Amino acid sequence: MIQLFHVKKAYPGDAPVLDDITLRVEKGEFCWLTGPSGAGKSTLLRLLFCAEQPSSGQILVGGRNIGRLAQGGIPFLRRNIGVVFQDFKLLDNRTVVENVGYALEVLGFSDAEIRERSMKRLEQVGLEHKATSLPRRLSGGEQQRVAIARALVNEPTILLADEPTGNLDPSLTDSILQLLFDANARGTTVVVATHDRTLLTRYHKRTIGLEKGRLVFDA
Amino acid sequence: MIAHVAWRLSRRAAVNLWRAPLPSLVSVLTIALSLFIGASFVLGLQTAKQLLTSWGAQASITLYLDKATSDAQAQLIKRQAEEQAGDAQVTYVDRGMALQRLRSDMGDLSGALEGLSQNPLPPSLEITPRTALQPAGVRVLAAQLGQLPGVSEVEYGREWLDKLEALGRGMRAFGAGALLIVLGAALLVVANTIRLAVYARRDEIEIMKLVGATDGYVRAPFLLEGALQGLIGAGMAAGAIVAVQHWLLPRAQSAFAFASGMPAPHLLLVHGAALLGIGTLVGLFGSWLAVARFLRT
Repeated sequence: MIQLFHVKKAYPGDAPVLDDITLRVEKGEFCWLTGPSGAGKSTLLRLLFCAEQPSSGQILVGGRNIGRLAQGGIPFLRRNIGVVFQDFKLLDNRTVVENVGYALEVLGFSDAEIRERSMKRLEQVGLEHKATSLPRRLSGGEQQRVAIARALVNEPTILLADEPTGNLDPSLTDSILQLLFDANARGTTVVVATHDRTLLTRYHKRTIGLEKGRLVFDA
Repeated sequence: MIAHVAWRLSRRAAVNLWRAPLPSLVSVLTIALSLFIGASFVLGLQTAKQLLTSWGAQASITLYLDKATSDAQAQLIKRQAEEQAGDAQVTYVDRGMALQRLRSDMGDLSGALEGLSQNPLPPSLEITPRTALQPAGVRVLAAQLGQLPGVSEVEYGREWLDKLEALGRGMRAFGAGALLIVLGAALLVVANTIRLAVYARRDEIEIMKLVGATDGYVRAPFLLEGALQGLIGAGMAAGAIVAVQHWLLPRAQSAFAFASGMPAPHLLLVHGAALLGIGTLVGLFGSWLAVARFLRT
């Protein structure tokens, strides 16, 4: 599902953020991407959803070489990738159900279909009763559940999460991760970047370790 | 599906305008002010051009005939001049009448003419165009009339016309240059104003791109908003110009006595339509410039 071949990412005048990364994530797999701050975890995820281009090397997502993708093809690739961020990235002036339905608007669904699918996702994350609330009225954990619902609403084949529990109270971590495990159980390939080692020991999954931009372990 | 998307984008544009009224208002007022200044300038130039044309039309052409020309021959030349001049008044001034006029013009000094043994003045034809002629038109007509048999000299205030023509040319060049500067400045101001509004919604653009929106999909509501703002701004500018024409100009007419009889500059329907079109284009292009920067990042 995801393949990287000798991928390097460097900015002019700085040491490489990622250096010679080669790895493969199979379809339906769940894996942690870990390492200290500045290890290159977020950059690797950004390369996967084409927010940045690698300096060298090749990246295949769903069998497509994203380095050869025309600029106009990037939006269509992103429609198969759900992304969850540490800071949620919800639109404050839209209701919860509007935030979730945003990805479906882009795909051209009708209003009725958007509402039906969005409500179904909100039920899965346990927030159907907050559908008409604005995000700022929700707790951090609830906002992250909305962000996950938005990332999954168009049933992407890949879900990327960048420190999804980083801003949350530890007591909320399990419920958020459970949503990601549920998505994985339904067949979605999930890659979660985290620097929280307690998660790795609590949930034994494949773990890819990065340090100073290099792959240091894959177990 | 296309209908869904079109309806949704239009609705979003309207909702965005409604949700952020202050930036929208600033954009609309900026466009309105820029277009008001630009349109007033154009109307002012048009009026000045009309004024110049009317001054040019006041210049009459005088054909001096050979002194030996008889009255019968003069009448023949007069008919030929009338044919060539078209809609113009042609007056025959015989030698006696010319001397009488000179005497009258000289007033107390007319006694100096008493010593003349014979009348030195030639007969002439005075041609006054009834309709406004451009200076170039007067020049061409004078050249044609000068070719008539029996005409020894043509006088039509050449220096005056040269000055008028130079003034007209200068005004045209200045007008075109100044109009370009005014429109360019308006476009930059509008683009920057809209850019501020777009900047306030950069998170929305980022999320739209994240969930797979194409550049066109991201751009469309902003373009619609820009076009709508331009249209409203142009409507306000047109309204302000009409108000100035109806309320302010009639009161200020006494201050411009030299232009008495001149029609006040009027915003015709075609001008209004052009203003609305330009406003819409300025809003559209301003939005395009503003959003392009965010799409690149």
